[in-house]
Amino acid sequence: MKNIRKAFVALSVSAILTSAIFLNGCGSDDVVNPPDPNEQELITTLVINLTDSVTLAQTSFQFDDPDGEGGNPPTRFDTIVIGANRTYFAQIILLNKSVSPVDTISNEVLEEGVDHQFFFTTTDVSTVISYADADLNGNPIGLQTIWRDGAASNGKILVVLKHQPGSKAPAPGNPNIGETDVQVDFVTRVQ
Amino acid sequence: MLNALLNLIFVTLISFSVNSAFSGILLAQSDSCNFVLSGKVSDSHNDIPVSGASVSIIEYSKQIITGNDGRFEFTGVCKGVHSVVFLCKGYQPDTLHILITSNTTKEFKLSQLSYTTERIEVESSRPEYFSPVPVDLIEGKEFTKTIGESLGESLKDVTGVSVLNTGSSISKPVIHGLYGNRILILNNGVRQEGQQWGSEHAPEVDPLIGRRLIVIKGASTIRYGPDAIAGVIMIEPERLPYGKRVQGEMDVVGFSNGLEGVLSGIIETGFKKIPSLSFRVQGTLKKAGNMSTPDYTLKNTGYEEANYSLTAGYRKNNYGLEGFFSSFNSKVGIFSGSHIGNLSDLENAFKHQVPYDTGSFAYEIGRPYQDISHLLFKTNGFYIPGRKYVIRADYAYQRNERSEFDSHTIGSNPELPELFFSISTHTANIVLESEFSRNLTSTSGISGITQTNIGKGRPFIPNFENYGAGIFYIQSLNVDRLVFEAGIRYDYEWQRIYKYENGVVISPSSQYSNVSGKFAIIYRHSNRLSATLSAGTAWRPPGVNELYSNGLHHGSASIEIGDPSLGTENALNVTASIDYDNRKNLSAEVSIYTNQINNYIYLEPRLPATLTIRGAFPTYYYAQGDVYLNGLDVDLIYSPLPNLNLISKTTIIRAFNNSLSDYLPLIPPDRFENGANYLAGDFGFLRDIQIGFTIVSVAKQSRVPKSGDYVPPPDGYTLLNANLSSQFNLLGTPVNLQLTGSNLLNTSYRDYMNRFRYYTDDMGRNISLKIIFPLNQNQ
Repeated sequence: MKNIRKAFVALSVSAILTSAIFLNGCGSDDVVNPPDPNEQELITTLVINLTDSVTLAQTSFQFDDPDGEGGNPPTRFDTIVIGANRTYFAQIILLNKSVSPVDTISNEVLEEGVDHQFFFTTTDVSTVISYADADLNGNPIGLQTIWRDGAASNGKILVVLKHQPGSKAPAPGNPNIGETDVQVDFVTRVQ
Repeated sequence: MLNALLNLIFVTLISFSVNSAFSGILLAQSDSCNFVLSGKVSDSHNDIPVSGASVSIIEYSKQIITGNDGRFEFTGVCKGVHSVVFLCKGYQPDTLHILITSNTTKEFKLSQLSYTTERIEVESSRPEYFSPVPVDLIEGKEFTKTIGESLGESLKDVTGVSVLNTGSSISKPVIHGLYGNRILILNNGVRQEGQQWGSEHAPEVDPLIGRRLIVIKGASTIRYGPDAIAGVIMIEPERLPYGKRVQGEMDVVGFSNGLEGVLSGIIETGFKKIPSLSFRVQGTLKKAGNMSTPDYTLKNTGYEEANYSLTAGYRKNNYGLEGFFSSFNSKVGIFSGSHIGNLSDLENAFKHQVPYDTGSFAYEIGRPYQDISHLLFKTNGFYIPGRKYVIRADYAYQRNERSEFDSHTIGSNPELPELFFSISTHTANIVLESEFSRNLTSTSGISGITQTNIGKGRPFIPNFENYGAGIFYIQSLNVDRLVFEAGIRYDYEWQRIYKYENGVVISPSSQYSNVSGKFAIIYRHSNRLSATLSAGTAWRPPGVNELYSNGLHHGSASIEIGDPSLGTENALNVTASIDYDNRKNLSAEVSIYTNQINNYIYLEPRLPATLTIRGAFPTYYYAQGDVYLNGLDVDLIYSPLPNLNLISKTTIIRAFNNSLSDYLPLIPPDRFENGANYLAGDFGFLRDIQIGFTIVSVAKQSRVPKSGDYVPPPDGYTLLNANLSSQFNLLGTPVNLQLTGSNLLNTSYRDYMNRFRYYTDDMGRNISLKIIFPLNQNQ
């Protein structure tokens, strides 16, 4: 009987000791290596390249937030300045600047074109934007567009990229469906 | 308005029933009165017959004292339901309602009153909760009704408990308006240490590891830790069947909504020849497809679960050892329409009454989904050095892994989760229980805990490690009709976190310590009336998310920013309750409480919104303030006829943030449950038929923060639920049946406590059938 009691006490003590050993030994290497915020899949930068249809002159406007959502505020948020009564060919480029080398996310949007669509909403500006590209189903993606400016005006152009896996609507598309990947409201001056 | 009407109907129903009650009894009298009710009274722990117990049938004022064999026999018993009362010195008095339709023989078990005696007949697998303060129990038939449901759903019939849902597949229990890390969950006696940061994180436990759930409301349980600000939920396995032969149970459950199937089984055995050895194997499988509201099916709302546990025990008279291993694994689809990129997505979702992403029925789970596993290993033992003491020790290791797969974002690897956490916890406790005399007992102990959390993917919660230790002493004293209980506890916690800041890893540490205590007085006026007054304090250190989160919370489309300077949250809880049972046809339990929490940690919205490439997000900062939560729980059971019970439950909570002079968000609205239960006796081969219905009325939550919500709280609603239970013999085995219908009228509604109310209606009609096959060689 005495022995059994001793065995029991020994077992309890050893259980507690085991725990103490576990404590020190457990994965301490991993715990000191937290996830690096600079290794994420992010869209940090939106670039709109405009080419004047007559002069072929190029202009470029950006929204740039190199550390992604939250953290430091965006480092660059351009005002779009374009000429009145002109027509532009527009190309959108999305970048992930948090990784090295910089990742061009817009290529992946193009690859997954059937699940993505850009939508443009203008407020108080004379610009009319129409799609100039198509996905495999013949529906617009919006990476390439034609911008036609009317009279001089001041307002905003809202650029939204929707991820609509399996639910992308036929042209002209439905901006209310899906998850928003990009939403930037550019202050715009047509002069 | 509707509630008032329903309550009126209910009251009318009661008064009508009172009038007819007498005629009912008279009718029963005129029926044949020549039945025999016989049986045996034995000790619930050692099965030894109890002699000298008084057995009486209240309706006839007949009394019999049991002999040495524990047997009794009443003759000339009339058809109908009778209340049989058992009284015996040293045992808990018990009342049973028995329906007599033929000569009946039943076996009755009485539980010993003295706690230490009970401990020496020790149930080594049972958590040693034996405070005199009353608790809520879900066991027996009540437990059977919940088989196949999640822990949160299983508890929602307890007055004062509600559920915080994220869709139909993720539910967190809410006690008196508080949830998450303000509730302590004990899984087979071990503090559940999972990922409780976020309302879309359900407790990672299988309620079917046991056959009993205990809810302790209020901060009155310093025994298991200082942080049970709202209360404790215990999932309790039965004791192992030492000395018995193979026994078990097989549960088969089907639900109409989501075509969910649940299969659960338990097999356990002792050995007649080796009475000190026993084993148990238990497992649960669940699979559900897409859920439906009354009008449409929700895409990607299925889930699956596979859990098992193994128990082995060795027990002698004064010592014992037990090992327990459990594994919980679930994969939960998240409704595609709820995964939103920014606030305008959310507004779009709400403006559109029917979500864009409705689908058809399927079992397949796609992105977004959660993959969760929880492993628990526990070993515990007890040793009884003499009649006055019991020493217990336990050690447990648990590992919780959580992978969140977002809806497929650009460029992400389809195989990898966007968010992954692994949290490992070791806990150890040594407890000494002492009985100085029958009226003076104490429990004291020390406990230790350490945790390591490792994250991968999107940085949201930093990595951390912590060490904690606690010491407590609880004393309980019986004086005449009064029971006093008082306890004190001290805890210390040290924590270090690891996270990137401006490109380098920083590792700040912090420490917290505090004293908590409790005091309770129970006054037993008679066996009909008792009153309890209890007060307790509790505290918890700020969670790592509250200290350090900094980024987008995808589930709520907001930026959450922690505050590393947050201090501990301290609660003072006072509860007064009255328990009345006239032992005939009326029982009532009323309790009022107040929970004053200083430095309550909450999210405070602040302007301006944070500008990101996905648009502007509302931004919340973790802040501390003084709040109160006051409430009332009422439970009434009235039996106008011996076989008819009218049941009424009321849960009311009022919560206010004094620091902001504003209401607290996510407080359950007023809830009323009124229903009836009828014992219909036997019909054909069906025995013990019980039919019941419940009308659940939930008011609109009008007390919401001024700072607003994305959308206003939804209107109140009323649902009709019904339940039919019975038993039949299959090859000599009594098989239990439960047929349950919830939201029978297929009412379209949205619940304030369901985060998916922004996107979709709540679940439509759901009919379930539960079949419970017992397996028992001991009879």
